[in-house]
Amino acid sequence: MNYKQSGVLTGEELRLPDNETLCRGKTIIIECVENIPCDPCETSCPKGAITVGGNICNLPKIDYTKCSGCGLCVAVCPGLAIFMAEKSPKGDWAEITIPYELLPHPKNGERVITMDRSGCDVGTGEIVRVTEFKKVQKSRLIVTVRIPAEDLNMVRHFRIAEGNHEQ
Amino acid sequence: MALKINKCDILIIGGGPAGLEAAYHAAKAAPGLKISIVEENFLLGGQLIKQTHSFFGSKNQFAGKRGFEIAELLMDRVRKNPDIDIHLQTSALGCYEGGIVACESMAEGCLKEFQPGRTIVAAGARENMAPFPGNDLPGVFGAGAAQTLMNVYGVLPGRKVVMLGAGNIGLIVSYQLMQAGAEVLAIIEGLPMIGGYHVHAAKIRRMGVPILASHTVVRATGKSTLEEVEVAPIDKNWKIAGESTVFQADTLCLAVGLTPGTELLEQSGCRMAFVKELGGHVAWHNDRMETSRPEILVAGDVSGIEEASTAMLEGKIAGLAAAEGLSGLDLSDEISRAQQELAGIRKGPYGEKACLGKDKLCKLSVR
Ligand SMILES: Cc1cc2nc3c(=O)[nH]c(=O)nc-3n(C[C@H](O)[C@H](O)[C@H](O)COP(=O)(O)OP(=O)(O)OC[C@H]3O[C@@H](n4cnc5c(N)ncnc54)[C@H](O)[C@@H]3O)c2cc1C
Ligand code: SF4
Ligand code: SF4
Repeated sequence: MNYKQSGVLTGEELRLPDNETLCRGKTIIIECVENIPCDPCETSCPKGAITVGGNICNLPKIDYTKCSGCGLCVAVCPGLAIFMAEKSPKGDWAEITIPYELLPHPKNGERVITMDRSGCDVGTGEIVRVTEFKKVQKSRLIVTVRIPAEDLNMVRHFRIAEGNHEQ
Repeated sequence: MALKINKCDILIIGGGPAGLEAAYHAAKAAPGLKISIVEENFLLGGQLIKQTHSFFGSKNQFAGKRGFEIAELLMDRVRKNPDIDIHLQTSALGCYEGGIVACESMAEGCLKEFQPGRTIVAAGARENMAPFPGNDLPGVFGAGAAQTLMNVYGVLPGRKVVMLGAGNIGLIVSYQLMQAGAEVLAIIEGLPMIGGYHVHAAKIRRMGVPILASHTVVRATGKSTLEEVEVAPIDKNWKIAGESTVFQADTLCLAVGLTPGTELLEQSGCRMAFVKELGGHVAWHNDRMETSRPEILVAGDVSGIEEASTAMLEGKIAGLAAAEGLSGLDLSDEISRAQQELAGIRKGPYGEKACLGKDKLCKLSVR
């Protein structure tokens, strides 16, 4: 089944960054593989690190040498298709930053159940950062979850475990 | 019923993104022209007021902003222009000889007659129905209607939802239902492929909502309201090709396409054409959005089902073309810039259908 049948991207369509890039620091991952007419990732990046180019239907490209890891594009992308990943050089932890538009709002320190691109549970993680870029996108949180390094390429969503959230 | 005669140069029917942009750009390009908008709803903004997701497109079409925020921006610039007057809760009923347009104002309880030099019809589209037993049960909604209930009126249509249709509307409304606290049990799609943008499919898939391609709703059942939705796999001839699954659902949303709302255009004697790629019957029009009747123009979903971004640009083109015709100004540069921008948006695979449809129209003769 390809992603047009399943709605889930697999290894072939995804060109995930290599280990070296991930270990260097915050690494933007753009999971936008169709030529849709869209370019806010390009126009909003303060460092000019994302290029769509003259044709608005081109695929966005990221230049890691220019990116500062500010996370603004994660907050802006209307497709919720941009994530940010980072891996510790020793490989003992990783962090994935996810755009999140659901209630209740996750809180720092909270443990969550991590989910993959098809909504299946992967494991658990801990919320380590919750930011909001109110000026560019209201009602969207940018949530960083600390997870085991081996889960990094799988985790793209999470849910707050029942009974775990204090209102 | 009392009759009020209203004078204006350009009358715009429909206050969605197409109509609002037509008004704004016509007024800006040719100051002094008097422009009226009639809108049957009690709010301006058309479909945009219920779109809580952030939009695609380019900066010029406010990409990245949420639909209702775009509606506010468009309304604001129209309201600020003293040459534009707005008639809410006012439906256009018919276009007659000599360009006369009759409207009924629910707000003022009167008939209003307009005698504009140009009329721009930007009346949008309506949702299609799907044929299956039980489609008239309470609990079966158009996806757009469910979205209006939820996002404009704050009423959750139901708790357990099955969505029919995996185009952008089906995917987006499913996501918004989940945001509002409903559970979407499955998205059912008759075609073997998801029709909407992958990014919309991806964000609902990772929340755990299955999308069943090559499936259809066989029937909906329930005593007095919807209780069960029977779904079965189908082959490429849409014949049942396997065992059914039954979902216990209180809500079934239909997102099976839109049809342009062309009654006024048909009634006014515009030349009509059936173009599948544009969603059905549409009024013939050229790339300046002019129909076969010189005083009538079209813009937005009524001229072919597309997007808010394209509706805004078509509105701009129609507004400019109407203003040019009445003011004698040369606005051809601005029109061609908008046409180029529109062509740019339609360049990708998702714009192919519209391009094909608009091309087909151009090849037909005016009469
Ligand atoms: C769920 C959903 C999600 C969408 N998501 C996106 C998206 O992400 N990006 C995007 O670009 N587009 C999106 N769209 C499409 C977009 O909303 C429409 O293409 C766009 O609104 C069309 O604009 P319009 O002005 O032609 O029509 P409309 O917005 O439908 O406006 C038409 C207006 O005309 C009024 N009217 C109709 N008949 C009369 C009459 N006789 N007299 C007076 N008034 C009348 C109606 O009340 C309405 O307000 C989405 C649509 C839906 C339903
Ligand atoms: S993280 Fe910041 S600098 Fe890097 S691509 Fe995104 S917006 Fe640009
Ligand atoms: S903003 Fe998001 S959806 Fe739009 S082109 Fe960039 S990555 Fe793709």
